[in-house]
Amino acid sequence: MDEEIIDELMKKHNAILLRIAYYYTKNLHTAEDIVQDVFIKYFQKKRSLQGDAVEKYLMKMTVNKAKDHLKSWHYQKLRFQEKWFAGKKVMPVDQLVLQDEEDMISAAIFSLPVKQREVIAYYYLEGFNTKQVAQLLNIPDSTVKSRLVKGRNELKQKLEMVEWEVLKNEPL
Amino acid sequence: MSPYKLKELRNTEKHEQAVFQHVKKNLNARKNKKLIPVFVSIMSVAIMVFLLLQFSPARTNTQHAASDVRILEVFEQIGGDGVVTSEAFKEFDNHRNYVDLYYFKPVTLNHFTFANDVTFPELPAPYQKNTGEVIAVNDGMQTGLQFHFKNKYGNFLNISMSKYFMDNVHDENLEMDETDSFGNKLTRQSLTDDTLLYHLQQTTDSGYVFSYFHYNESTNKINVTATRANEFYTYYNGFIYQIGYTGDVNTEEMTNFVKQFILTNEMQYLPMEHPLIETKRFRSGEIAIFTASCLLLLGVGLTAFFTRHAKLKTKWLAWGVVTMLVITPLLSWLLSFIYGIYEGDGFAAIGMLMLLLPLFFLVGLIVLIVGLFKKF
Repeated sequence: MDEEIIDELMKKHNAILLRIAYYYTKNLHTAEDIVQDVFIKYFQKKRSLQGDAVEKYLMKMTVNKAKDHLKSWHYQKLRFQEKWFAGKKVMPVDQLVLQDEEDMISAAIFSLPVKQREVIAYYYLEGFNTKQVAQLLNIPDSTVKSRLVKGRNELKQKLEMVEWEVLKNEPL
Repeated sequence: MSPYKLKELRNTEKHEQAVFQHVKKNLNARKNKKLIPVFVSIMSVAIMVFLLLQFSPARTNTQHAASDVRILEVFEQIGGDGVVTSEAFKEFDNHRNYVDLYYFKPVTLNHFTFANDVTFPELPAPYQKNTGEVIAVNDGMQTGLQFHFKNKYGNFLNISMSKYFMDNVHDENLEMDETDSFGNKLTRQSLTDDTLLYHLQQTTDSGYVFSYFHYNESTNKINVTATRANEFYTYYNGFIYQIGYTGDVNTEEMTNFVKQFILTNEMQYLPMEHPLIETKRFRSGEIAIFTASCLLLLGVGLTAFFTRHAKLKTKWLAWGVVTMLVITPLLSWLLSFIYGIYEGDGFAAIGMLMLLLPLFFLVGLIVLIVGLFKKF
């Protein structure tokens, strides 16, 4: 594959793939690793896809790779360590106050289970319609909708107590 | 796209750049990585060949024999039939009936002594040293020599010396009579302080058969000729000596010659160990090792080839089955065989096989079970 095509493909799809990976891993460095792997595998397989098919293919690879990471022994070990060995973070009240509203949204989204988190992220943050999300995740449209409803409800519960100041006019 | 982005994802330029650079760098590096399997395969084959050559007993024997091969190099191997044993002293000599021999075409004594850089003592009258011819036989492990001298009256002197691992004469199984069962005179003389020399003289018209190897020119084979002869028999310095003679000979002179010959002949210091049967057997072992190695590599290679695009689960399953059915028997046999050769003990090989076979099978089984039950 030409160097130019490789450069162009990466420039075009790098950002969205990073975001997709991040929705699952909650860590930009891990997301970085996943996207690197996706690109390298794609270029090595030398598939000659055109147009939208490339983006869909890359996104699907990223989703699969990210899910693989969540199932990986390494990730499970980290979670286990975080759960049992990390000391409980005692956050002073004044720091909690300092947490801005955006952090609260992030925290609320990432506290959702993966199944709801991914559809919420694709639908609201990436602007996909339900059909696109269904295609990407290989699940029925109706499942996407039900997960959206469920996710929305959970988010509502988590965020309804917040008195929005900065983001109150943001069209979410 | 929604105007809202998570705070952490608003500026990912730094990470995008990192991905970009990493991919560019690794794409070239991974091209080179394709050479690694090729390199590993070549190195594996090279190491295997090296080990084969190092542990191959055929090679060891060839090397061993190479320095000792002078005796057999003098001779040309031909066909033949029969074994020579002493009937008169069969209580001592019966074991020689049960060997399969390799036969070698006779050479003149002069040629033999010159080629092996030895000297042969002068013979008592009426035998002439220059009439001598030497026949070699090999029982698969050791080479025996027969020196045969004829005179113009049809009498002969036949000296046979065969390597044997134990003193078969020392036990006095032979009856202490002064005659054999035909009434021929049997005397015992001391060769050394603890070695007896038996001397059976033809004093009657009947007696035991004396046999020796004879070259049949028309068939180009070695046969056994049976006749009657006076006979000396003893074991000394690792050799069974059976010396027969016919004709009018001064007994005392002949006895002195025989004693002198047995004690001082230079042929007894020639290396007689030529493991022809071992070489043959181990050469077939070498072929077996090579074949097993090839099959093993083929099995592993084909599995790797056919599962290269398969799902991870399929790979685990395939490797589990291949490990149990192909790798386990071949690899355990191969390692055990080589270990057995290294130790020089067949039981060591069997012991190792009994350990490795279930071990490798278990490994294969675990791989298969992981493939069956793990979620990929």
